[in-house]
Amino acid sequence: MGLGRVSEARKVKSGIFLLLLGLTVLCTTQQVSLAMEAPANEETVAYELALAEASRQRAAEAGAEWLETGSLIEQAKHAVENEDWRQALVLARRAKQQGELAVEQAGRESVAWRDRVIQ
Amino acid sequence: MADKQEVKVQTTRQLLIFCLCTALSSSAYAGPEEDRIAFQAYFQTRFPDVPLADYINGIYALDEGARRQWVDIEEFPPYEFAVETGELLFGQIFRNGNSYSDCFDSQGIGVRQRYPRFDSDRGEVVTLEMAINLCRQRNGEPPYSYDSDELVSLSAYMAWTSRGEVIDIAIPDDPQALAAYESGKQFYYSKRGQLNFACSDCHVTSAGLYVRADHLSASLGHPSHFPVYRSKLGKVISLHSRFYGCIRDVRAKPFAEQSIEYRNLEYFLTYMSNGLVVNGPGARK
Repeated sequence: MGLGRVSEARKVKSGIFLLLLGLTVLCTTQQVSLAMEAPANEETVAYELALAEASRQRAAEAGAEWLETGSLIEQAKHAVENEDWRQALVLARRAKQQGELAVEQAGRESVAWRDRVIQ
Repeated sequence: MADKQEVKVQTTRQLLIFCLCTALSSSAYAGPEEDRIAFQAYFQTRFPDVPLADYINGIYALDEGARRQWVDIEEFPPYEFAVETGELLFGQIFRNGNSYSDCFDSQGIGVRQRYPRFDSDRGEVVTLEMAINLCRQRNGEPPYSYDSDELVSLSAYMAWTSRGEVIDIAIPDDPQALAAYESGKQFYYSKRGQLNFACSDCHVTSAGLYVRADHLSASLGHPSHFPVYRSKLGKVISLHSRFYGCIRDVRAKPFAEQSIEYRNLEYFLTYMSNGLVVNGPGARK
């Protein structure tokens, strides 16, 4: 009985360890792939920032901009001022993704809202 | 001039979207009155022990513990200063000799229940706060900022004089008015922001449930008690300021107070409360 409990606890601990290991590998892989995709320099950052701003504008035109998109772009610009190209690239891409998701959300909601109307 | 053009463009866009939506899904479309009856019936079925008239008390209709605290707070209402300031401001004479009472029906006393209203000449929804500023501008006075203490106090006073009046929002026989109502309705039921929440997710589906340590209020009766003294802010705020906070809380970029989006939302939401009475200003946590 006692040995069974110890074995179960070990299994749980192993599970948690494997989960954490998996998450660490996943995060590292993403960072590596980001670094491998494009070099973080003034040109790539300027390009990604332009894409992010266009994405934010499309979301704003749809009346669906998310709260922190503009702030992410501002933070990216601040990173550019500090010549932290890598950080700027990460922030600009996050802002771009938020804009895209917001536009997608607005498109989906232009129809989906009707299903929520109290009948 | 640019503002007027912008309003016209937005109104035309709303009208086109409205026509398109009704054409595409006429079977799913219900008129405002059917909407209101269904809206009120939903809450009455969901909370059978809550009398319809009690929804004007917001969350205090659903949360007995919070209600007891609120009743105690009402012994010395924290919004009284705003009402007194509003009364003083309301009585002021403009430089041209006119006053607020010249701009409103019934000299501006007991009129809250008919706002917001659709102004067919302007082609847009006019809220009470907007009407106050339009009155000022017509009389050569500069408009107040919509989050200013002055404007909120005037609104609080006008709500105070309307206590007990039955909310009676009209949707005139004007396709633009119906389009504005539909636009507000769409806003209300649409998910937005990073949290992907619609107004209805919290205040219909989850009404009465906990969000952290507080209960979520029902939408029915929401506009009856604004402007509202918020204890956590230590001041009286407008309904649009509350909209602003809600939209920010679901992590969407909020619209400006008195934006066309919020005015149309107020139009829809207040219409849903037709038949209840005005009891503003109110006090909330």
